[in-house]
Amino acid sequence: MNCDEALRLIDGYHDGELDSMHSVEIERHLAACDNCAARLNKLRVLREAVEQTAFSAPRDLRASVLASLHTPPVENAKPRLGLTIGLALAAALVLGFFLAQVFPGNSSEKTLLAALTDSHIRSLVGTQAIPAPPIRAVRASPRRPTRPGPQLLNARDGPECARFP
Amino acid sequence: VENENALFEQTILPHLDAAYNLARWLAGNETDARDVVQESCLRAFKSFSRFRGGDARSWLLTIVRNAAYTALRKRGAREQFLDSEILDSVADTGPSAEQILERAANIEAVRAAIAQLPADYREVIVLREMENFSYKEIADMVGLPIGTVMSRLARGRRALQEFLVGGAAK
Repeated sequence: MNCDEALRLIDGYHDGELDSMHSVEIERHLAACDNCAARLNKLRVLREAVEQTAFSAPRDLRASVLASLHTPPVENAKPRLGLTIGLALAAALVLGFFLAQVFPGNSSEKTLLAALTDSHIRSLVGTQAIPAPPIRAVRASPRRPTRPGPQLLNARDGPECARFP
Repeated sequence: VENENALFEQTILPHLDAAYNLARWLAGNETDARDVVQESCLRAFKSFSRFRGGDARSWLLTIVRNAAYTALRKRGAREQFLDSEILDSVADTGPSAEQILERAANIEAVRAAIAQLPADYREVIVLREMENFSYKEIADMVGLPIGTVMSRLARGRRALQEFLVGGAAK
């Protein structure tokens, strides 16, 4: 074995990964070659240097790992999401209330909308003036309202009415 | 379920140091390493029913490795490369054993040198020199042929001794 071959195999020898035939050959070479023997010595020194730098886990890590296993975040996520949505809804309600107080114009807009809905429904039902169903009822139920003059209100009209506001 | 929990604690948690060590060397700092270990243990716990004997340490470290690289990608870490001079040299022209020994007394200096290695070299050094895995075990964990593991180790060691004695990267 020459130095080139020995240097190519020396890491494997150092790591105990060579088969016995190559191990015997490289040992024979190392006994005769100071350069390659020095290389092996360096690998050993380097290992010792590197070994000592390993980190051990912080003392509290085991406890926090165990804690996270017993309360997996997947289960925690749902209530937290629900809480977020609830808070957002509450904030929207409060904001809406204030806006209604501050800008009374909004309420006249509402009556305009109601009037438009009324006239639309009247035009569908016929010329007869009827009390308009509350907007919410129209929106919520796709079923036809039980009102007089229903011929024009077939099933197809329901959703379209509902989409109008 | 109680038994399953106890079994997990007995087989997996003894390798928490190894898990943290690999996470620490890949993630680069304590905070990220802790997160990686937490995440990995949770993943290991969830898929523990699929663990059929074998080496629990390499099973856990494979999960840690994946989690660490995912975290690095999220952080937008850039890939590093080794100097081609180091990659190509087979001959040993590096510093002497005495020089290495002298520097080795300073653990922080050794750590700084290891940190200079690109992650794919750093991980095989950590798995071999600190965790004592065989080439075959490393190859399985990293998903590379044994020959590649061996050449990465050899090059990584050469680069490491240069960084250690030479100080800064070239």
